[in-house]
Amino acid sequence: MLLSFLSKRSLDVDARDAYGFTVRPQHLQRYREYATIYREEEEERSEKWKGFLDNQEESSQPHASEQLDVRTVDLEVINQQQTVPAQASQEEGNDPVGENPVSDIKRESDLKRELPAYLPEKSSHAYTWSEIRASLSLIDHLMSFRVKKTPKTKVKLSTDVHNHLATIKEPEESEEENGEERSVNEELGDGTNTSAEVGSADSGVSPELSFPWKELEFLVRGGVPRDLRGEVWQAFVGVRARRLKRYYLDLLDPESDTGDGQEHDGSSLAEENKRPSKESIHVPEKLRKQIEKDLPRTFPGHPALDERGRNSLRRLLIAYARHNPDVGYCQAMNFFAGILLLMMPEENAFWYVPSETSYIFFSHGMSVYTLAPGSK
Amino acid sequence: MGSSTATQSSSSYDLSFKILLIGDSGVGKSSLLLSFISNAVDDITPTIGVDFKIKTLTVGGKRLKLTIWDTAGQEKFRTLTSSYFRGAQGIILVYDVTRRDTFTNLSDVWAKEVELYCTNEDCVKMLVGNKVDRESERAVSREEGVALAKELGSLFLECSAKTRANVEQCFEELTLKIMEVPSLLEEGSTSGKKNILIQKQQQQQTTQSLSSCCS
Repeated sequence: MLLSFLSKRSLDVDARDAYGFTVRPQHLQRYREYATIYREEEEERSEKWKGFLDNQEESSQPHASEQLDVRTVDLEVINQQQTVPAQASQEEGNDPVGENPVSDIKRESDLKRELPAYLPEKSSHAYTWSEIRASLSLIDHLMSFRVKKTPKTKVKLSTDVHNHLATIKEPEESEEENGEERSVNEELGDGTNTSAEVGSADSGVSPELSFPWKELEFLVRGGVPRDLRGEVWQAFVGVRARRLKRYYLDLLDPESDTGDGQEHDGSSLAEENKRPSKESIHVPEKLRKQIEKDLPRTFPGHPALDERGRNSLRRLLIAYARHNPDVGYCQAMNFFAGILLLMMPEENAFWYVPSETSYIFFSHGMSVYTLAPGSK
Repeated sequence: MGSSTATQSSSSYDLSFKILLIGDSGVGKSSLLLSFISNAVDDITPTIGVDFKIKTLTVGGKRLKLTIWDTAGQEKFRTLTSSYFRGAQGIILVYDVTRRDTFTNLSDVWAKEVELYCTNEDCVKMLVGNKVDRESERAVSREEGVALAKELGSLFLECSAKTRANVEQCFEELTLKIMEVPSLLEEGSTSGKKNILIQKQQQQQTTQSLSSCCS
């Protein structure tokens, strides 16, 4: 998501690739030679994906013409950004301080048009959750059946969250799941998406079977266009099913909550449940220091990892360390998190991270090394 | 996991030594190594696991091949890095003169690691205080460094990877000291021969690739 803050011009001038990384000097000439080809390929990819997603949307939502219009507008905005970068970069170039808010507002207005109900109260914050585009929600929904495990955490969760977890745990009972899905969605105030999912489920044909997996596979193999990448990733892990509302914000609650934790315990059950318990929220000073140390060492010189980007990265890493105290923070997570933050908003990145692979890699992976030969 | 920067000039050395860099995260182990190898220190990213670089140099009339292993400092990787002590002839313990905890950790943690995992009792240790270019922020005095070095029975130097002050001396002094120890010298020359043998084998069976830096 931080990527969207980068102006095109700054990318060109510093000889950075489309993702903001410096092109190594030895590859620079080659990169410039192929730049037009890259651009053409990217446009071609974007076209293909757009066609595919539009089709998906049409077939899943026959009455969603209104939303389709929004979709087109949204894409036009993206296209404008691509084709008329000079103007945008001039604006941003003249006002480096205002750079981020400008693109932020653009992003948010897009979201507002698309999914008004999902916009959280604190929409001005960088860490807000943003829903992936409606046309990808079917993939997200299908993948969400694979989300089986509860998040590995010792943090106490509020009761409605527990209900939600129960549905995640038992993917077999699809009817109940749908019911729960609906209630959860209603709870979140989302009307449009629910109708799509339930509609496709109610029609009798399993959406998993009717979905053009082959075509999707073909598209994925051809590469995901930059502007879709983050959202496609999210859709593929079923990020919406993973997400527990407010959980991320609770993790980021300042330490003051832990200090008077005892008082909360007595006062009310709901309050107690809402607040993560004292031990679990505690991130050891050592890890904190380590994170601080690694922030400036994560993709040094990358334009997106400025003050604001690093704050995002810090919050994400600390939240994960709290969420999964067994692992805490392990060097190299900063790179994963940094990449994710380039592609998606902070809270989305958080829900993307605790996938099984990362858990295995960062906790069990290290203990496997303990058994490796070579230690005396 | 490993990346060798230079030199396939196989048999053009007399001795081969393995040197290990250890110390807390962020003290500048990788910077020190890079400063020694390539004269320039860019922005460096944290070391994940282990990295190694090879440098050939001539010390005392002998052509040396140094395989320098750069380890990750974070505690998470301790189980991993500990296995790299095996067979090291020289160990460089690095601390940051501007951060006291990195200094105390050397005696509390790292010296014990060395004792525990190092396979050669004669292996030469060297204490290095890095970042002396930031003199105004100094938190560990030179005297304290000397005292700890005495206690550990190691060499001592203060250097700066940034300005390259004392960087080359650091590695040269270490190798000179290694060459004074007969058992290490023996190891160095046999491992050199072994390498040559392996290379010969490699040439014979070119189809098979010699892999595994982790074994």
